[in-house]
Amino acid sequence: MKVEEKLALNKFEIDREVHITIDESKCQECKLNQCVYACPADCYVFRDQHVTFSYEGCLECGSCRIACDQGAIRWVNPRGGFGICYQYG
Amino acid sequence: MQLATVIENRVKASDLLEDFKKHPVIQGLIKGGESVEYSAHLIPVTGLKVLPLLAKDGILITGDAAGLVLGTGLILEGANFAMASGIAAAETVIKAREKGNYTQATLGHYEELLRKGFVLKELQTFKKAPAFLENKRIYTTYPEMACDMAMKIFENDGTLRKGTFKTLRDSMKGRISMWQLFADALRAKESL
Repeated sequence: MKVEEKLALNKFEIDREVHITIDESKCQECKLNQCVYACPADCYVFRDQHVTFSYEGCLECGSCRIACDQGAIRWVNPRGGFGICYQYG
Repeated sequence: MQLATVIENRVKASDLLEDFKKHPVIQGLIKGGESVEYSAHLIPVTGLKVLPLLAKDGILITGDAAGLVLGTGLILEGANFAMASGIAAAETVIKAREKGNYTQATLGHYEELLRKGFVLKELQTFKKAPAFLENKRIYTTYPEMACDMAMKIFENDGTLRKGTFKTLRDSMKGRISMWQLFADALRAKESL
């Protein structure tokens, strides 16, 4: 089962306010791209020599913020009622 | 899975989960099952080496947010501590409300309750476990040795087998010294 198929099972209330912001100038210095391996939702994908990011499938685990050794990720919880809405816990 | 392990080995937790589901033993157990949701949580397993921040003026911290999680390699628990700390927090708030005082001094009652109950006692017993579990040999050398030994013990292809202790020494060759094995066993005894 692919990650996108799994994510399709989930209920999301996408907020217009972005809860993760990336300082891309720091990403240019980054060699390890640890976010790509840390994220269980494939929000970070290595493509054409750099990492592209989207916050839509975010499961709000916070792994990327800890994994990023560049301090490039600013992470806050989405507003109440928004983001991933777990139905089963 | 430890986040550090995922990053170091450059594997994705989602891929590992799929591999796990394909394992012959697991495959039978989940056959006909249906995925209903996909979730991910990061759990802080820090142990009691540093007492977590439990109470400040106007704030009580419970469950895994306070690091009240127990991982010994054999078990990974937290729901029980979350419930117990939630009850202790509620009792503390009731007390603080009676006094009309929500300062750290009053809310310190929460820590007393956790100390009296099983939460901090259990974490105290296993306080060395997180550091012990950082030993990479637990995840590489020892499982390899166990499989190697099992092969040598149970496989019968007609060649003469060796005694069990000799088999152990053979499996250790190139992997680990007797001294290192004893040192790890001693640390396991103290930590788990």
